[in-house]
Amino acid sequence: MNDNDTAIDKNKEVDFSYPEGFMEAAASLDFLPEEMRVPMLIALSGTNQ
Amino acid sequence: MNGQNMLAERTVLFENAMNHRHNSRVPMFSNFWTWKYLDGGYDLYQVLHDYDLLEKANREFHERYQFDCYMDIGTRNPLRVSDAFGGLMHHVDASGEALVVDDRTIMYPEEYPELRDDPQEFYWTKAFHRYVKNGLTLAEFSNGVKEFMDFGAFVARIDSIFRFEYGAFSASPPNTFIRSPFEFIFSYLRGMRESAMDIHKHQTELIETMDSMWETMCLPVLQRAMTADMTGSITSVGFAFLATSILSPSQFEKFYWRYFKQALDMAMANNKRVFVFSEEEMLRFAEFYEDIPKGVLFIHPEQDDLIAFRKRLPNITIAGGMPASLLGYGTRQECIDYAKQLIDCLGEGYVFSTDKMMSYRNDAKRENLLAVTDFVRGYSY
Repeated sequence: MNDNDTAIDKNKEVDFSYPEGFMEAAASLDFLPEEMRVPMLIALSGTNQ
Repeated sequence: MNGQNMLAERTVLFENAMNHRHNSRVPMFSNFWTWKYLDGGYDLYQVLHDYDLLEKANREFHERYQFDCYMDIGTRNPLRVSDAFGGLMHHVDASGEALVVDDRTIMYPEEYPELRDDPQEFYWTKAFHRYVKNGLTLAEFSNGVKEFMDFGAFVARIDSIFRFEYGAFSASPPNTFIRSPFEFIFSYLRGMRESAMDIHKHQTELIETMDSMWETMCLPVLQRAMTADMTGSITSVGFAFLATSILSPSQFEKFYWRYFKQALDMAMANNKRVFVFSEEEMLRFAEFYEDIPKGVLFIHPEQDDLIAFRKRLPNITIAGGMPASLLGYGTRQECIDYAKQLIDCLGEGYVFSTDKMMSYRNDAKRENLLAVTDFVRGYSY
């Protein structure tokens, strides 16, 4: 986790709203560098072949 | 022979095949999928969930049969990833020997404008939301992303093994396989039945959305493919044709050809080649391909008579033709005789392969496949 990450309750359900839920899900990927989180989510969810 | 030498030998074989020149032997293309795990004595569920075992099984398959090119090297079925998100669409069936993909709809017809206008929002709020299980937690989501990354690492590892250690080819370079817009809608978003209805009921929205998908999803891959490293690849970019099964030639022109032609034009302008893996009949659409120069298009059809294909489209390099029914139920000699006939008839511009994706136990007997691969490797036509 980076120093400036805020704690996220990982037991809560994923919020599929946009952009709030999307950004929260990206922020939860604290094992990734910050700049990789949104691109990872885009690749995973389908917009990237 | 080491991997570098094999790569050099296979480069000559595939260059000759693509340019319809005589070869010292016909190169062999593996259209083998889950069959190889059953042949190797593996439990299908177990091998698809263990990357070390998956590597071992694919190594054994290559070392046993020595194909020159592979459609699949264990990267086709990322079950650990789909399981991590709920495993709702892909699963090993009750027999333990077949992988089932459900025909499921994760997009509704009224949502075409949403996909067209903001794909990132659409995928997150609709398609991906419906793809995963209900109640997915952020911890489970993080775990799924880790599985997604682990799978990516496995793909890179096994690709490197096959390309450099074995000197084996793939049809196109890594990350240059394109699902064209209608294919993506048909296979992933709307499903077969709903896509077939959209052609009639939602034609305008469908085309507007596909135009947007082509620009934002496919063109970047196509552009990347034009400069991709071609080491160990027959072509620069690959396409899978499955959705063409529900299209007439006029519908093919309207919903499919408009994009694929752009890929062909771009490839020709850049002196590159295009691969098509077709699970459906191609000759119904022969008129679209008859003017393409030799050396540009490589098609692996599954539903066509290859002799008829060669007569109608002599400009296309083709792979396939060896019947699974014969490999599964014939004798060794019958298999060798059929392989010889295929090679003698098709010769230049032909790559030896099977007439279907080899997935089930009875698609081939080991003794038959060994006999045929030994024969083809040593046969000067």
